[in-house]
Amino acid sequence: MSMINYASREINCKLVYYGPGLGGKTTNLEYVYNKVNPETRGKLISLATEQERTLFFDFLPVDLGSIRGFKTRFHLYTVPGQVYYNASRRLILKGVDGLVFVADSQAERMDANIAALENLYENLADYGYDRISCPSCCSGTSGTCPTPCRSTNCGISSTPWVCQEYEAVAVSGVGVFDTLKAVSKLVLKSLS
Amino acid sequence: MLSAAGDRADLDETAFASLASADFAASGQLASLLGEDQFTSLYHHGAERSMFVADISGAAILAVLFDTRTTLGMVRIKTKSLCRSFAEQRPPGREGPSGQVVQMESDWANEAESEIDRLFGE
Repeated sequence: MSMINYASREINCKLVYYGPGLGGKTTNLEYVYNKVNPETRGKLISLATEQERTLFFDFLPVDLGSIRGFKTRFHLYTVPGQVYYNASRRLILKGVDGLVFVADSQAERMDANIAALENLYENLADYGYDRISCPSCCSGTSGTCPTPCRSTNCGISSTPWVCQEYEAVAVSGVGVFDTLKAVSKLVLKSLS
Repeated sequence: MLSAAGDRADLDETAFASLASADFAASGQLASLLGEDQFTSLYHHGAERSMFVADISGAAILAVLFDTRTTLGMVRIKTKSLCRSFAEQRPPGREGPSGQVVQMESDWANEAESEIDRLFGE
């Protein structure tokens, strides 16, 4: 749940990028980091292995500025995609306000997309979060595939996932901001 | 981050708060693997600066940074009463001063949406 600090008049919202390994979650954050005004974002923190695979999370704070007296800030997190880091993924989901599911558009990763989505359901349920009411977006993307891909083509259309869908390519940035804008707006709408 | 105080000129507070909370959350999972409910505090020892993190009733954490001018024992003593005092206060959440759950005005959401378009417009 978004934290509204009345004493300091701040609103902090937590957005989590979730999905299978090597799908482009970290690349999404790196693209955002490189493109937004440096004055509005903080340091990009990556807790990664020597092979640059996410070990715990990536973190990027983005400042929306003061809106009607409330300093509004988004905290963007990624989770590790590799299956054996589930404890870390579950930790990062705690207090989530909005989700971006980054599906991998490669045909051979369809099963991984579905497994990651089912894993997301389980981890949300562990915290008692309702996956239907959690503001969510889904982008079909791949670090190696240059073609934008609809997430319905990524194998998850067969699952009961309710979200807005975007075509994206994380490396070139296609759809990255469309997805971020959409989930941010959904989260802020949920506050009003 | 709820609040910060003291000499912190060279500290990225947002990054620090994010990492400290993740560190504490991870330690909670380690505790449960060992059959403990929670580790109530954490200590990281550095050559010049050290860090002590303590749980405040499961609702917040208190991180204390200190250098070689004091000792861990002193920090623990001071922190204990401070945590008790903080625990008696209501942590900030989505509640206004009178305790009711607050919804932001629709005008606020409209303005926020415009800001999102401006900030995230390429």
